[in-house]
Amino acid sequence: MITLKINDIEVTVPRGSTILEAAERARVFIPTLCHDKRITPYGACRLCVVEDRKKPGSLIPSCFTPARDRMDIVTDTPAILEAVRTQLQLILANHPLECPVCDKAGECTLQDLVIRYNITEAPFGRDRFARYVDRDSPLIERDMTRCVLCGRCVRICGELQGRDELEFNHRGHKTVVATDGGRALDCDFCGLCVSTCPVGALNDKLFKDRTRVWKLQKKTTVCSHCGLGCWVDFHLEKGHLRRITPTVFPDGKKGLICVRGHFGWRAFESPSRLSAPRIRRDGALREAGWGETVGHAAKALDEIRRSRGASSIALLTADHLTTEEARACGALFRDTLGCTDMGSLQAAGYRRILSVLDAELGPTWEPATLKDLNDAETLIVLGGGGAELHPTLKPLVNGLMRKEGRELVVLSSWPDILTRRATLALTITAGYAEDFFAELHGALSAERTHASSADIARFGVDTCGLARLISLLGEDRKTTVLVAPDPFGDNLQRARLASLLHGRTRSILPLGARSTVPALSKGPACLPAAQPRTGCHCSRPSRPAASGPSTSWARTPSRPCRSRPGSGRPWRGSNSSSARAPSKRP
Amino acid sequence: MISSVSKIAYCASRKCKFRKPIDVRSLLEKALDELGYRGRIGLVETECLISCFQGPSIMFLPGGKVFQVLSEEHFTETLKGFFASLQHPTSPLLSEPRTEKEIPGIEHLDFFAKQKLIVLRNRGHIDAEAIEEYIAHDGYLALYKTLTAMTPEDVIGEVKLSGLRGRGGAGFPTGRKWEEARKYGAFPKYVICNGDEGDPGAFMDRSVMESDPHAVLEGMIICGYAIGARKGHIYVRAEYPLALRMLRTAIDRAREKGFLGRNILGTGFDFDIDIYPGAGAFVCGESTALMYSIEGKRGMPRIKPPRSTESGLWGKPTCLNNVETFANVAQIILNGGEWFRSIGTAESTGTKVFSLTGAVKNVGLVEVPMGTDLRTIIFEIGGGIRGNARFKAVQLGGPSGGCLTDEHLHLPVTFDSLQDAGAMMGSGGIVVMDDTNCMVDVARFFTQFCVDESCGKCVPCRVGLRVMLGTLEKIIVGQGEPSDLALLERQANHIASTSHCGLGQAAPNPVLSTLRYFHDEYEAHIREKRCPALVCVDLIRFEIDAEACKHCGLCSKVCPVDAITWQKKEVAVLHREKCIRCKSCIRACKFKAIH
Repeated sequence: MITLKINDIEVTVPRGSTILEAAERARVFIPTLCHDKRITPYGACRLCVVEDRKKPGSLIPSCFTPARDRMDIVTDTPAILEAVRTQLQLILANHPLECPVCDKAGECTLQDLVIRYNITEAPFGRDRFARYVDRDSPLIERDMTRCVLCGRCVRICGELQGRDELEFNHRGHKTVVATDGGRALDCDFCGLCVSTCPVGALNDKLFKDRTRVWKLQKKTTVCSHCGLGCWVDFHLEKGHLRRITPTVFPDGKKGLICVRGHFGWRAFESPSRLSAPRIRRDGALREAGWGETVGHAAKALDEIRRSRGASSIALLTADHLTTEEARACGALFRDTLGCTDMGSLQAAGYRRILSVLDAELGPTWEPATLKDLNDAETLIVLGGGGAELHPTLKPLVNGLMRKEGRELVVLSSWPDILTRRATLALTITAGYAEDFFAELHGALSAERTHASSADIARFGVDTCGLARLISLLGEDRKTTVLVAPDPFGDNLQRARLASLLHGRTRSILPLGARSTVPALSKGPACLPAAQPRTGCHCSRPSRPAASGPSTSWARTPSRPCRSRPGSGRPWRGSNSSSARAPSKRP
Repeated sequence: MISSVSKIAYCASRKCKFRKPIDVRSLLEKALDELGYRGRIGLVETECLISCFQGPSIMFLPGGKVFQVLSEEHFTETLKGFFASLQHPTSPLLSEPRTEKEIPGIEHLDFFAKQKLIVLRNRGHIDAEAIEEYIAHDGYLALYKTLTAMTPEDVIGEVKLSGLRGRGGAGFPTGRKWEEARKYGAFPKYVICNGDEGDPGAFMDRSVMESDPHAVLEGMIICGYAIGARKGHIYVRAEYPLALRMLRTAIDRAREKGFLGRNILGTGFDFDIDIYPGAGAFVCGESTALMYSIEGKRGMPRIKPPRSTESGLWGKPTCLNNVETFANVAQIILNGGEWFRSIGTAESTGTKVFSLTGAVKNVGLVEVPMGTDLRTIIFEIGGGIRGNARFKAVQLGGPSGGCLTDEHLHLPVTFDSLQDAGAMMGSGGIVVMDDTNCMVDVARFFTQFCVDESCGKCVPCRVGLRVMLGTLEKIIVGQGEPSDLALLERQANHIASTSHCGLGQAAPNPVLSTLRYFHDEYEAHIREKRCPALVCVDLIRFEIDAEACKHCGLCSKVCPVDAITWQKKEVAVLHREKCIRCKSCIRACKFKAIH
């Protein structure tokens, strides 16, 4: 840890931090434009310049210069203010003044800085360029006349998403950010570029021209499109959803998001969605009030339980319940009604894997968390399609792989997204994945250092690669295993292999499809701990419903619990850790 | 008699060809055929014999007697005459420009006498494509000494002792850079030679690459041995096709002879070199941008830390040096660091190659010990201002350098000595200017260059330079306002203090130094709307001086738009409304009657 002074405020930061990070710790504001915490620093906008009292006269960009012990930094000398103001004037010289028609107004970094530094003159004249406007791409509109060439979109698409769709073309004042050949976008459409653009150059087409940002209310919640459950912000105008953006955390870091979470919310507005409860009367579903519906359901369920027993009730939930909703569901059906048959519509493969792991590893095993994913030196993926199931795995893994010495091992029978990023990709002949996993399991459990190449060869797996995998497993490296389900297969063998590897790594993470599928996350402290369970699925709380016979919707928390702020993206499974199957009633 | 002449070197470089389009080689072959000496005398095509100011020349080797090729008709006679009496060669011998005395040999010419050649020691004396000649001139001897008798630490020690500093302009101590690169343990390591000489008008590195490529290779191999690298890259700008060809040939020859490749000289040391042509970007002469260019990425400077010696090409420890720096290495190893240190000054040891161009009589490459003052370089070696005009300014260091006046001629040229005066030695470009150069136009020219070559990453360089250029252009077309001078200064200081890389940091230097020393010219442009040097066309008031006009009618004849009418024995009349300001009349008038 090193200690330095920023504007005479002493602050202690880990060695390797930049001056900008130290300034944040000291709560001193330094303007930036080309900086985004999700990607490496760039040093293009030169707004973050500071001075070191020990080396007066030289302006240091703070976003990438490492902080050193006993530095004495000042951020508000006249020279610095002059530099920042001139810089903003230069940026404005090339920038169209379209605030009234630009969607970014109200959340535009350039606007905020111009106001903050009170730029009211244009001493350098106006030298606008007519760069192109791309209105042809789906979901994202690119108005390059507004672009300030900060490079954030280029870097986030390249470093984080790994797609390299946008790049600088030409040079000098003719520079423009474009795709190769100037075509329309043909990428993952995750919208990370839109989320990072500090001005109105990259826009969400679903939001464009609908309303102004100051009319929106923000609600932070969890995306329900897949089991990863990224934090997202819902932006509502009078209760109507207008757009979704990745959450900005208290430490200022923005999160990750994928195309489904970012742009897939129109489905919520679909007219075929139920918006009010209905009761079937006289052969047709008719709208009814909440009180009436709940009472009707309670009466009916009670009746069935009394006349035919709790075992005649089965619960089928939708996929995109939140953890808390699913837990409340489970509380109702399992504890109050005594129902034992509960499940959700999809992710049979996931449930299968989970049940095998439960059986082999016993009731006390805990699945890995996001931290285990981030800290792993070796990441092993059993089965293909992991990042297709959870699209945000792609930038997550990408970010991981940028660090030194990480290994990504993918064992799958088809070239999926993670295969492309892998440092070791073992391709198994199609249809033989399960057999291969069984063989590998046998080899590893019998002799830990060697697998017979004759057996392995028939699966089409490259023997050198396999030898490398075995040696990686033998090394003292932090390893996390992700198990991706095969939606059409049995998934028994990969689960068995995972459970075998658990002995070495203690870090297994089954991948699943959607939110309601029971996820195995540690989650926030308020969620229940592990419970004994039998074969299957769904959510159940470990502690009895503290608020009495709570069958009321109104009692359930309407906001997801937050994990510790600043811990990065929490791993939110769909339902809570009570994804253990129900066993006996307490 | 003729046995004492074994070779005739003829200068075939572009400059000479343009001055007089004579195919020297075929002339020579024809003449030798006639005289029957073909086959007994070798012909060597060299690049710069460096006597550019006299036109195409031939040099007899050994001995170094240089002859001008004046015309084709007299050539055979001259050659015959020469062979007929070697003792008393007749003209056209090279003559000393100032005194018109005939001189016996090239080394007696002032232009060459005052130079001390280390980097350029082989130019013109060897066939650049023949490795045997390089070897015969102590070539690869330093490599042999290094690999057989020195440890890498010894090599680094010798280079550190010599005080050699990077010749590309920044002047970083080379020994320290090698020591840094050696320190890091990552593998593989790389040696890169920066042959992307982008400064307009600079051709020092080009001449070394074309006339003595093996010196560069030898320096790189020794560097590789010192830092523990096995691979070297030479990045040559694509605008130097001959240098590329020479280097490729040199590498092939070196590989054949075992100086490159595996197990060099049987010592177990492997090293090989690749060549990367550039693609037309000045910014790729910046070392981190150069490395990105080799990696196939966009050439933009990256943030530092980490320094390239720790993580450079492909993220590995890389030692990047300039062509001229490498060309010094072999001599340092052979003669010792002390010897190198004894030349030049304490802070800037050794020699430096300058490309002396502009309004001097002797244009060409000049290699002098560091610390030589400007007056010696310009007036004694350069022969003074051509046409006997007056010295006005000297521009040093290309687009990153500044302009100095005659007040500064006494200053020695070293890495550090010119900074107080607002200039820098840079990579060695020296452009001498006389009264026909407008300093505002000079500032505009270099600013335009930087605007075109900026990579576009950082705001001050990308936007700021363009804005500064706009202000300069405004002044040049006559729309300058008095407040523009303060604006220029503000723009220039901002760009210099906040740019990301050396291109932007140094680009305002021409503007700042001309503002400092030639303020009155700027004032004339702004307040009087007049260009004293008659360069900025919009500010020239075209007028025919009735007293000076000699009624020759030449101006009327050359005017492309018939804006001048003339009648015999009368003063020419200029019709301003037709005039397109092309200045043809000014150039044509022998009596300077138009201004």
